[in-house]
Amino acid sequence: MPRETGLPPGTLTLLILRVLNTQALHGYAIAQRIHHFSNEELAVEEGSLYPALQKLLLNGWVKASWTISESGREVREYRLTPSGRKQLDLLLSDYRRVSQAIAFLLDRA
Amino acid sequence: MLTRAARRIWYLLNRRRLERELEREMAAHRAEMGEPHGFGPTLRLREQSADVWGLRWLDDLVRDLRHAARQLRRTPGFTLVAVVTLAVGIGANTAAFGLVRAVFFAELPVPEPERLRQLEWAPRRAFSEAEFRYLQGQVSGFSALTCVTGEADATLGRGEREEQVKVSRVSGDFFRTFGPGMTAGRPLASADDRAEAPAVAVISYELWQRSFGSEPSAIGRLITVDDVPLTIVGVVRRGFTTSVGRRQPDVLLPMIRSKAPGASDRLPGERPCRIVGRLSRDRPEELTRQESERLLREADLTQPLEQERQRPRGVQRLILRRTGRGIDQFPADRGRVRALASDLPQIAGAIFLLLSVLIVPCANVAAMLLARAITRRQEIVARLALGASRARLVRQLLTEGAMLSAVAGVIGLLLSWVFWSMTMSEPASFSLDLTALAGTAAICAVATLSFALVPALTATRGDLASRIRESSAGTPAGKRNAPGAALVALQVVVSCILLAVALLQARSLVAVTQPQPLESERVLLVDVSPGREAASGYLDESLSRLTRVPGVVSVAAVSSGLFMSLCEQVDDGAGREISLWIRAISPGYFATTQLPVLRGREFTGLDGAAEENVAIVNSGLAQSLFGRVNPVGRRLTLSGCRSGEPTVASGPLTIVGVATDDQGWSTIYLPYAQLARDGNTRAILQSRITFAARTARSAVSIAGPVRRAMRESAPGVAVGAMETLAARLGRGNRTGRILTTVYLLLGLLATAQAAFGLYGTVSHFVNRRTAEIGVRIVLGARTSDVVRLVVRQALTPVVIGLLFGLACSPIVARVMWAARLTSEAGWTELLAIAALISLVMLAAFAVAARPVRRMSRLDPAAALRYE
Repeated sequence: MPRETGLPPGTLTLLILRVLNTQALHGYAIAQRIHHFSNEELAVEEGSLYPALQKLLLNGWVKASWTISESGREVREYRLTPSGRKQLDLLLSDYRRVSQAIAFLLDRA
Repeated sequence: MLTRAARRIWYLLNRRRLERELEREMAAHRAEMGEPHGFGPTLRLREQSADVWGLRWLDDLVRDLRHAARQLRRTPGFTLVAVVTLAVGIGANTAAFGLVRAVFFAELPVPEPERLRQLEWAPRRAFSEAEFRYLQGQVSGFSALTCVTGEADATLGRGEREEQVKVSRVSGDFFRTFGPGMTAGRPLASADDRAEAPAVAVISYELWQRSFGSEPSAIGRLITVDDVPLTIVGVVRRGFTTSVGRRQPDVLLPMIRSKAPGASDRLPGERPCRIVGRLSRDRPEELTRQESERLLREADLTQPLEQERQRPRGVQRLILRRTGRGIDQFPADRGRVRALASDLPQIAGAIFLLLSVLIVPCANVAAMLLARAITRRQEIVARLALGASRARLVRQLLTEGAMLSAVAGVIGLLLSWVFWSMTMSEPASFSLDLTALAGTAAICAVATLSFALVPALTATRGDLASRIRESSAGTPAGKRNAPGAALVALQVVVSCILLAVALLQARSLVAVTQPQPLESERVLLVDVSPGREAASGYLDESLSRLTRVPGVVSVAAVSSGLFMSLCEQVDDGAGREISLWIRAISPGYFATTQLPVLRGREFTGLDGAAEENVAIVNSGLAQSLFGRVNPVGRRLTLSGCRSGEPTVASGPLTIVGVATDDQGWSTIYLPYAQLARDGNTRAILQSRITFAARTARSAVSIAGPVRRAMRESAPGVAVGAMETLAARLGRGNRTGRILTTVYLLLGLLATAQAAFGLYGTVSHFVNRRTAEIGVRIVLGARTSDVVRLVVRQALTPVVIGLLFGLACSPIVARVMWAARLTSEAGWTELLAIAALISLVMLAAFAVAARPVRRMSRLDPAAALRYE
């Protein structure tokens, strides 16, 4: 597993919100999903994941609850709140606009 | 944002549980990963995650407070001294803050105090009742207008019992103008201010509480005020007053009862009828002013010119002055400014005291903290080396300072209450509310910054490497502690001056108290303000009637504070000016009161109008005029300060006697008969006259007959307060006693402060030079040499301060008391002060220098390794 994440700054929140949009997940699963769905390109370090999750909690974008994981362990699951969904939309549209602009510029300039 | 803040608080409240959950969560994560070493350092991760909640500063604060508490507990001596030092300063300043607030910024407890206006002529001149009535009848710009006389003393009778009260007369609309609520009964109304209305009175809440036991049945009770029967109709609400910071008179009477108590104003010019109006909301203030000015001018022209109420030349302007706030009582009108200027030495003295009681403790604690920073250098260097930032360390040190201040602030608050109740007559007016607490907190914060900031910055300055080297290599020797030494010198000066002032105050107090007149409890005093009601022969008539009262051995009369606002020049040839009091007395005054005549004789019936002018001076005046020379037989002339001012006596006076001191004032006694001859009868009758009657039995037994005799001699004149001479002397000394206590206390505190300062300086010095002293001992210095070194360094500032302070004290005392205080600091006093201060200083020094003595006995090698 590559330790270098290669994440552009500020996108971690977007990624977490995005993977949580489909289903509620615990911390390790979030990291796994990001890794898996990015063709194993991206990896999230625990040192960034947990502060980021606390920030989402502070902003009220996610809610946490304890459940039992598939492997039978007690884990804390994070679930998007309505305001988290709204935030995801906002971030997504922002991100699309910016990345399109960058792609555009890289093609043309 | 609000929800974010709410979530933060929720996090704070559930913090322990949430942090545990995070821990469990991370443990689970680790287990899922299956490779434990792949996970980062758990503790740090947890801390980083928790930091997101932004509560780190709180943790730091709690940690700092714990650390500070530990540090302060470790050095209980230092902590105690610092806290006590600061508490005194904070306490004194809190009291002063409360006083300033009470005097300047308090508002009258009435609805819309900002609409109240007091009418005043500029230049100042009093209003008469007739002028007020004229204005009230025609003016339209005020929703209500009232007129209030100055307070007068009166005797309140309820059944058999009598007591002294303050009485003020008010016109009918008084309660409509001010609008205070009533605790019980009804207010006075315009209907009460009519000649045919029944005689009624409204009493203050305080009197109701004090004398009527807060009983509702007080309403409707019949009382007498100076023998005039009245019915109580109401009790004004608690705390009501017409001028901020002054006590409300006990009894309010309708204006119209001009023959009633309080009618005879003592000094018509000084005690004006105060006109206060409540502005209408719908009229510009300037219009109202112009209207009132015009009406009052008209009213003035209809008035007959009275002897003592001369129309001033030049144009006068009417001013509507706000009167609802305390600060309104200090307008920038020239007369008052001049009055203020004459009080300047006292004010400057008070400011000097206040500054010295806050700045000096702060400086002392700063010096102590600086000294401590030296001993804590290793701790600080170690923490810096472990990666603590300088800002973090400064914050830590400031937290320690704040903790000291906070503890001192709580004690200071208690102390301020003590200060307050010692200096103010009414401790009840000291209120502990949010503003007062905020004020104390602000004073604490200022104190913290001023004593802790510099030591904190100094302690953490410099680059780390050199500091580590420094701390292991010993002390930076050679640097003198110059500011500390200067501070000690300054403090010694301050304590010298304060102690000198206290001693002078005490001496003049002793001078009044010492010659206790014989059997002063057998002398009954009656105060009377004859005013305009009295015939010119009033005094002789009253005296002859009093003499005939059974049981009375002798009688006499003395006028109080005659011409006290005038400055009289005593021309003794050298042309010096001395302000003094003139008292008119009847023959036998000293024999009756048994106040001693030190030299010469007192006036007899032979010192009549046809005889040579004679005078008796008190010892204070005698000393300032003639020094040690016997003044009996000398001559002097009284004349006003400026030419053209009236003099009270024609021609030169011959001094026939010297009386005892009069509470530190310069006083001259003149025979009533001779003053009357020179046309001063009216002026004397306008002042307050005290009759003294000596009896062989108890003073109480003649009180009734004396009152009757006084009333018979002039039915129109109200008979005022009655008390024994013993009681009055005791009362007169109270202010002096309080002042003496305050100055003495401050002086001793300042001395203690200086001692703390010296302690700090010496310990600082010893700590710095320990290694150097060790070297000296190794090199063969004897114990006595080492001790001498420390002694010389430490005592130099004390000696300098002492010399300077002793030289200054007499000058300061003279400035503060102007020419009023007759005592001067003699050599004995100054020596006593010097001895006291030296003693305290030596004690402080001995305590501080103990380490040196211990060290000088130590093994030299150990001394070198010290630190």
